[in-house]
Amino acid sequence: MLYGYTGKILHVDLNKAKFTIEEPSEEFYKTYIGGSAMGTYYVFKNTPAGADPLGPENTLTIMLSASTGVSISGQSRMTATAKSPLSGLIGDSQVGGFFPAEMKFSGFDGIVFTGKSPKPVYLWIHDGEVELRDASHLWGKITGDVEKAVREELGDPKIEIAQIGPSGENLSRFAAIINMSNRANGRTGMGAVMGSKNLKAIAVRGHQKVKTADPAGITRLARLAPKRVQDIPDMKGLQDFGTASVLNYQNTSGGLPTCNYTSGTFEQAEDISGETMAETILQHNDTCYACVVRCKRVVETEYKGNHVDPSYGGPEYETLSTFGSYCGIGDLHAVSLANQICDQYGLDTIACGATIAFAMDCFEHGYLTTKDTGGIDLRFGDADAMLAILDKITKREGLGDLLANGSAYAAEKIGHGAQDLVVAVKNNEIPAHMPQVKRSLALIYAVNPFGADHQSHEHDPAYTPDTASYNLERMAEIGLTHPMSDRVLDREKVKMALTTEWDYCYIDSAQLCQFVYGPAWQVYGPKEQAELMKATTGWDWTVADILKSGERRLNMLRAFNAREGVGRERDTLPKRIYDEPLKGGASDGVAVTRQEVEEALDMYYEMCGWDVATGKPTRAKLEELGLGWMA
Amino acid sequence: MQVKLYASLRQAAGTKMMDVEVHAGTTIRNVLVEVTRRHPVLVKFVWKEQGELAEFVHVFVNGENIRHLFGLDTPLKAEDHVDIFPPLVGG
Repeated sequence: MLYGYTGKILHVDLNKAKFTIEEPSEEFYKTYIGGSAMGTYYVFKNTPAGADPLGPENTLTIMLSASTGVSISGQSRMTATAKSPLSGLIGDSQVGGFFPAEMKFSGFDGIVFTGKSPKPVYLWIHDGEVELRDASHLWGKITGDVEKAVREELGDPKIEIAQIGPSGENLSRFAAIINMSNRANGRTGMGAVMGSKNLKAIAVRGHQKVKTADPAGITRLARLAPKRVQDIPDMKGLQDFGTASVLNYQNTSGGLPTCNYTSGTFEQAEDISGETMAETILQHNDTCYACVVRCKRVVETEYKGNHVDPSYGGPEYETLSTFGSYCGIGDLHAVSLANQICDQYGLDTIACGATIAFAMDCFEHGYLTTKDTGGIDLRFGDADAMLAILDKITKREGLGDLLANGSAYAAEKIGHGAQDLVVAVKNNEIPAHMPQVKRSLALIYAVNPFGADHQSHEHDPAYTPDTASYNLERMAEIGLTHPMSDRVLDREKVKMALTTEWDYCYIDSAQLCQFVYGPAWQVYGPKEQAELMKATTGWDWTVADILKSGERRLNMLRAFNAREGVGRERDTLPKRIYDEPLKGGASDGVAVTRQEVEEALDMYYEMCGWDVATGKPTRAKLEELGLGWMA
Repeated sequence: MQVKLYASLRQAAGTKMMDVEVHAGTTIRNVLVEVTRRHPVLVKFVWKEQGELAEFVHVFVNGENIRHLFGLDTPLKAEDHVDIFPPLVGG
């Protein structure tokens, strides 16, 4: 018997408005487990090499996993996968909220969208019944309005909706898929793919119970969480201050990206910190289905007469950085408004804020003028200018039309040396964790198959000689027993980066939340991840199975890129990271060297069992992982 | 010399910063003793029972973690600034 899963994958041919329900074998589920790996399976199978990411040949998948909808913290997550319009390589993005659990209850483990609808539609799934409904009356509407409209139309206030905003409709390359109007599959442009298919939204509602193999085992694990959230200081900080809890720390240690990554220290950091948010505009915490951590922020404020509504949640650490310190802006109200606009229009706050910072840098260098900006004096520190250009991005108007494609595409058109100001890998703007300060990021940002991503492995502070013992005990569960300085990138650090990357790859396929499950400070460590899989499915999994499953996912992503003809040559960091030492503060003068990254790449590919010259998975490695069909 | 507290330490102590006197020979140990004397609620965050630094606390002097300097014997000057954090994560 298949436990945890519904046993059903819904295939939607948008060309013909046709549905097929696939019932894969248990062996299929055991191999690909869900989320990112399962999504990549279908995208690889259905989409030929060289396909236009915004054309009808692209495939968009929405995937859950075994434990989605189970009553335990951190399991209501889903992955959107497709060929990315930002990188031209595999695109992959996770999200939480209540939508994933509700989708499981509605009867499916995943949805595979192929083709393109001739007119705007939304998919409605309710207790196993599926229907494509006209969305022409929703097209052009912001997310909050669509949520209200769909719930009224379908007559149920508890319907959960994942949707694109107007920016997905107008194919911004970093458009997001938004659920609850404030949770985002943010990165890699999955919202643009959805928009290219004329697919406005997915609405779900269901009552199917998730059958688990060992309900008592699930309950035992679930009951550990409330006390651990109070006892593990990192978790308590997340609960009290959200991800914003880390902003002041990053700044003090010289790792808060400032003025387009030219410095790691921002004078006004305190003004946009989690502490200041809690003291001023925070209304309350929010959470995802069944999760006791409650890390989400809900804020209310206003900026120059513009109301910031609590229904749009509140800014995470990345958003506070990209619209704050990256742009030299220390106004929490302006940043909160920017966050709301991104939620309303469906934009990735990391890419969007970082792209605006890039544009500011271009303006400061004279590569853009007020003639290009439509009269906006687009300088660092100017919140009004930031919001004005954000408005243009949402409408694809003037310079906004160019910037809506991201900094890398924009730089090509701007010229004048603008390419040297791009801080992105594989066109994915670099997030607010600096590789100069946490050295393993220099490697993982370079090699990650969908571009620079800070949620793909465990960061260096979790593996130093001074790290708290409970962190190091967890790391020892995955064979990491020689912690070292966070500013070193030697063989042991590469081993740490890769091994934790496998664990994070598993987590993104098992669809678990990285703030609840992980190899270090989280509520549940690697052994407990295996226990959860066993209690859910009945499979007798150990930590070794977890890591093998993660390794498989990593190889699948890499194989997709290899089929596009891409390998080591795109595993590189932007010029600024190498050639412009940071200015001021604790990281003054620090840069990453090309030599250390090249040496780390050699070690990394060797440890992965890949071809060192090309960075591509070998046939032997793919066959070892049951992926010979991808070779 | 200014000492700043963050996150749950700030909540517990009810203050975000304080001024502490620094003389020739003052070390970070002296400063932390004074901080926890003024705010006994911070003792469990800052100290292990044997007078060693708790493993859950990060103490910075001018942006450098004291564990990379001279630990609790790190000397201080009046113009230095000290920042004290609990463990924190964010994505």
